Amino acid sequence: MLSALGKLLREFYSAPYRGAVARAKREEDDLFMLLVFSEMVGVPNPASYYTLELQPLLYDDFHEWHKRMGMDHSPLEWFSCC
Amino acid sequence: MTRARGASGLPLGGRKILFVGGKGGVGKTTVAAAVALRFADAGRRALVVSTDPAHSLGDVFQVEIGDRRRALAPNLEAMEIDPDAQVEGYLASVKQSMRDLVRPAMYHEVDKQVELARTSPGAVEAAMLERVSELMVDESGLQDVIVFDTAPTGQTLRLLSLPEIMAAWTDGLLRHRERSDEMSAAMKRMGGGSKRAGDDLSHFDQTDETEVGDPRFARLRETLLNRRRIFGRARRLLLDRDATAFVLVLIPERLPVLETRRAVEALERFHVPVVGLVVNRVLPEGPLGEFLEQRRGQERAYLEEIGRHFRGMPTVRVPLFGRDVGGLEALREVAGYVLTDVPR
Amino acid sequence: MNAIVLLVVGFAVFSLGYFFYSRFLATKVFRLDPDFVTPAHEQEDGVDYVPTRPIILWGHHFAAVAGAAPIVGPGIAVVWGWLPAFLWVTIGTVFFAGVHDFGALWLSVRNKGRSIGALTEDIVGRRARSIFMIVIFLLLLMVNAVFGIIIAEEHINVPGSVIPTWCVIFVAMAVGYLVYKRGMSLLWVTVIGVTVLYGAIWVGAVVPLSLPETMFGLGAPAQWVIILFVYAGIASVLPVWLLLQPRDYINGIQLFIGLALLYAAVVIAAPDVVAPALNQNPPDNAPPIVPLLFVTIACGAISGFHGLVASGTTSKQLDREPHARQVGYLGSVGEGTLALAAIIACTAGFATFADWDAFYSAPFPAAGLSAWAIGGANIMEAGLGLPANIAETLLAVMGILFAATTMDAGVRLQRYIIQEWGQIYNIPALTGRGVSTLVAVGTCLLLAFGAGGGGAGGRVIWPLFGTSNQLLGALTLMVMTVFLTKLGRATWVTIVPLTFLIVMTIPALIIQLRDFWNAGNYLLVAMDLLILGASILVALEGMSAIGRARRERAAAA
Repeated sequence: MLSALGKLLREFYSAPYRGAVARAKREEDDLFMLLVFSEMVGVPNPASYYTLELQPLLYDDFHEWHKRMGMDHSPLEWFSCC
Repeated sequence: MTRARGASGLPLGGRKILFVGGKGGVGKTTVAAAVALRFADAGRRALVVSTDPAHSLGDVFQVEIGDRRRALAPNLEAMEIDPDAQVEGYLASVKQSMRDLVRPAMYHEVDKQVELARTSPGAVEAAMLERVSELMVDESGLQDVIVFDTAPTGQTLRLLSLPEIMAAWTDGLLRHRERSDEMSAAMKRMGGGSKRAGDDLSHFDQTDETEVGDPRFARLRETLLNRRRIFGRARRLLLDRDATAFVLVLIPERLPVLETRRAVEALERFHVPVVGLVVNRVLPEGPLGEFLEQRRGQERAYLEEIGRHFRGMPTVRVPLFGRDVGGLEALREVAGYVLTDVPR
Repeated sequence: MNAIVLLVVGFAVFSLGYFFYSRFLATKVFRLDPDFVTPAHEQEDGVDYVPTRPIILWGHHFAAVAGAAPIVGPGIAVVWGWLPAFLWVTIGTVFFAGVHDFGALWLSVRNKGRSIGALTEDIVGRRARSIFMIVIFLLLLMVNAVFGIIIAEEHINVPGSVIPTWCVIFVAMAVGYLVYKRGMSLLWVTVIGVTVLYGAIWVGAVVPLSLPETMFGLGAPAQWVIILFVYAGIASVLPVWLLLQPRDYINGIQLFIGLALLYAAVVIAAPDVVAPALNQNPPDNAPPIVPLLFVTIACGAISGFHGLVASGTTSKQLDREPHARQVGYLGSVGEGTLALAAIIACTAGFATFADWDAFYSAPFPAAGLSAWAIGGANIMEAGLGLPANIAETLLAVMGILFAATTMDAGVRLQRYIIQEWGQIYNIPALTGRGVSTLVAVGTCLLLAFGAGGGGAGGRVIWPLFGTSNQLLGALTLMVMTVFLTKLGRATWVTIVPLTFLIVMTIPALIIQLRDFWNAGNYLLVAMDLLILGASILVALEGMSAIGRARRERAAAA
């Protein structure tokens, strides 16, 4: 019973601002993706050699990211997420 | 020419890392090899590494040296870094990770794309930096002193500035990841509610599980942290006057002198300590004939200039030998002019 | 007559409204479809679009719209007697506010969760959208200014409220820190936080604090206003999880607790309503009851502000369309109960008619929040045995906290709008966080001081605030009307409230204009003219848009 109340309160606490925190997190993640995939959007990157190994780890989020960045289709030819 | 004696040898101290630099063709490979050999003879485990793409280390020792450590004498190992092999290894592992994520039909495309990175500007330098950093940091304690025979000065300077850039870059990425992880954790703590009655798995908890506990993100952090560690330590070592020293080799001619002045300025801007100069191929004493006496006159002027411009900087002179310097004995002779006592 | 009668009749009307009228709206007008894929599902992203349980949404909608206005408005309006206020609150909630809130939510849900502002452009046109932006800015300006004044005044009237109010800030930050950074169990943190809050109320009642009479030539009210706005400015730039989120949470909790306590006290004490049904002897400067009643009580009868809330976040979190009835309509019913409680407190909380008359003989507008606190405290003492001074502090703090959280949100919203203008009209200076906050706070301060030296005189802009609020409500109703016309549904449900609002608001503005002019307050004359201009634009645009939609519909049929 108490745990149900606790759950209710927790949801009451977080519901209106959940979005704000999630949005802030998403912005951080988007920036990270941009840094790693910067060559793709035409931004030269001194560390492009090293970002290469990070790229595969981010493929899962790639599709949503490129849509948010305004690219309708995946800029990676071989990775056809859409 | 008198042999180096007492205080006129280079004060290399008990440093662990030495860079020997200078314009192409002034004999820096020889000096580097000689110094390393001297250390080895004195009982310290020495590794001499060539970072110059135009490897001549093997020529100086008159043996084949490759990308792996090769013992040349008691306590002495040598290596010629092949950045291409480094790049190849890196790209191969990246290709593998990418292949794991796409359909086999796409393997060719993936490889093509990754191949582009091979020829991108900075790939070779980055690979070289990685190798040099690893060797410098020497986490496994494989040598007591390491002597780098570096490429002509421009590339070297870029190489020296990279650890700082790389450290800053990894710091930036790590910071973003940390903030993101913190927010994920907070969101998970705040929790969500069930979207439908009876549905206990809230949408929110599900998202978080794939994010915070995700092995991918742990690997991201780990990869970044590893690089950060290596770059950070390399940078610290580079700036530590007690750990690292730079020695410049030059010959008493116009262009090398000019270049050496520029190099010293540049290195000082990077706060890399230059501890000495080796003036190579100085005309030996004794009568040399009219033509060479003329040159000696010019040489004296340059030697004076060197003394003037680099006042206060320890300088040694190595004479011009009758034959090419090659092999262990000849190198020992050269070393005698450069170092006196080798500290433990 | 006994207050219980008001309570019972009021709740009965609300219930009838919910069970019958809202069902009519749900089935015949809006035609809620349980299978409709709401934006929360269609655009689900775990960030803004997240399906949420209706009870949570209702709780938040209710807590968000239950500001100080449903307390202050009735607190002022009972000067005309309890009957007009009672009728307006009950009938208004059922036929006006319910429709507005319910409809705004539904409209947004049916249109991909877009905000009313964006929908105004989509459904009516760009001109309407520009009017909308102006009205919103004016409303925010008024809301912030007037609430600042009210809080300042209440701090002076009930000095015991000072400690608890500012204590809440630290309690909130502690809660925010513990929950966000430390991940402590919210249940315990809540219990502790609420205990500390009520403890602070007790302390505050015992240790009242006041600012010096004058400082730097500013009276105490002015000092408070400045402090409040400085706080609002800072609060709007702190991270949300640190202050705003826990503040809102605490606000919601003490709303429910406070309302429960007050209603319990009413039921137990059964006080008599000493105020007259119709006051034969209102103060000399009291404006005519029609139209001013309808702009004095906005929230609690109908308020445009709610539309912003409904279409802002709530619509993006609605799980299934039928929930809109519970969340939207019932949300305004909830607010109606708060307004009803205020009416009861301000009419039955006085011991005798003489006492009540003494209070309400003060020049219009009377200190609504104070009446609520004093009256409510008397009832709580009679019903629950709570000492009157503590109860008064509790109710004063409740009203102040409501006003303060609205101010927080208001300043933040204003800042966003200013930043957006900076972007649209290419004024880079405005897009910076610091500059935009300063502009927001600065304009509100200007208005607050211009209203009357930041003192009791400041309350005079309350009806003006009401007009801007009603205007926004009218605009929202207009958009709904056009949308309903295009769908071929019955539009009288929105046109009647819409017309009523315009017909009441414009004359109210004109009357106020005359009063401000006579008082020589040219700043308020200017504000009044602005709002008057906007009202006329809304009226004209409404007629043209609805007419156009009708013609198109007729042509298509």
